[in-house]
Amino acid sequence: MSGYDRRDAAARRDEGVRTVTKYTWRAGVIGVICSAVIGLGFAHHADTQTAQERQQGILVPNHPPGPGHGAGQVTSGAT
Amino acid sequence: MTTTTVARDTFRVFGTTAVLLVTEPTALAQARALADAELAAVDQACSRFRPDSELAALNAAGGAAVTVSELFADLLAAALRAARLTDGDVDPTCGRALAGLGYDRDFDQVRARGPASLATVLGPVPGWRRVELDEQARQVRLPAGTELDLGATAKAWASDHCAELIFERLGCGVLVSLGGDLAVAGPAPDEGWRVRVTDDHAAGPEEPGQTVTITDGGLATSSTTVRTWTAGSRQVHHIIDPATGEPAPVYWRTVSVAAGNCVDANTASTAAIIRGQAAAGWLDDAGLPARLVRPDGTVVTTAGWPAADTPPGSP
Repeated sequence: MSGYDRRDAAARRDEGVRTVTKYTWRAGVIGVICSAVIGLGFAHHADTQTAQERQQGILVPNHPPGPGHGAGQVTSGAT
Repeated sequence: MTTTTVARDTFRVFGTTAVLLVTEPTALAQARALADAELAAVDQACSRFRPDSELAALNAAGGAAVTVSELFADLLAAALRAARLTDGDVDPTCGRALAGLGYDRDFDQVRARGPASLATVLGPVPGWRRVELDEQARQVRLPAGTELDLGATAKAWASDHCAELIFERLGCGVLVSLGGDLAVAGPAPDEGWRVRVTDDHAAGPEEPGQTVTITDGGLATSSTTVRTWTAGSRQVHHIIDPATGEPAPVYWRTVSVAAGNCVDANTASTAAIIRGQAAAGWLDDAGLPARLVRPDGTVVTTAGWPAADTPPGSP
């Protein structure tokens, strides 16, 4: 094999390494971006779940009790 | 403002006093008939003291799966929801703990019997997560030895459903109170429904308390002072702390809560008794108007509960 062939092979190897490095870096960047997007998605999902949990909690009255001037008195006490 | 005419019926059910109010006096008899049918069905489903109830059959099933009625499945689902919403503070698997303390028959009979012998302390209750309910198949399975008591939620559930049923069928405003666990439905009187909040549902108007007005949802009161009896050498009450299997320590004498319905009001008032000092903050955070009374009679209120109508220092 000639010296020229060896240099050509080395150049092709270096070019291959650069190509692999370039795509690895891009894949890394894409991974970071995807992770951020997924993370934001889950964060939104978590907020939604919390809201749903609140809605499914103990129900509050539409109106709190007011002063006692109503009709038909009954007693709420323990039995 | 005009005063709405309200018709009233009072009767006994579930070993306590029921009050039925409607805003259309001519509808009272029909309303009572609807309530009677609903209450009879609930009693047949989940009485702990009727040997022919579905609850008694399930408690005696020894760990086998039991097919239940749609009504029982709904009642159990409500009890399990209450347990979930209170992180297990209101737990339906307290049946054996109550029986062990002597509450193993209608309460009138418990009192008439006199001091109960105290069974061995059972420790923490089995826990609501061990109850298997398949609502589609209407099948329930309890671990062997586990006994349910749906008392904390069933009475309130019955109040809610009677009120809704009467409004749907008759179209009038209605208030149903079962031993002080009350629910309203339909158009309220112009001035609202007046409710006296006190320790004992049978107390007269002269007893310490507060009068408030509600227009929707439900209101329930839990107390450590009314349903009490002697077990061994000590006085006990019926609100069991699932963590110990014993009556909850008395931090509050009485807790009254207004909520979107009576089941939720009862769930919150029962949990508040068990949670003790932390209850007021919990109720406030949940936006639940409540009135909590300490054993010395001092009162704490939460989330928009109205100011007292009694002199300072009166509970």
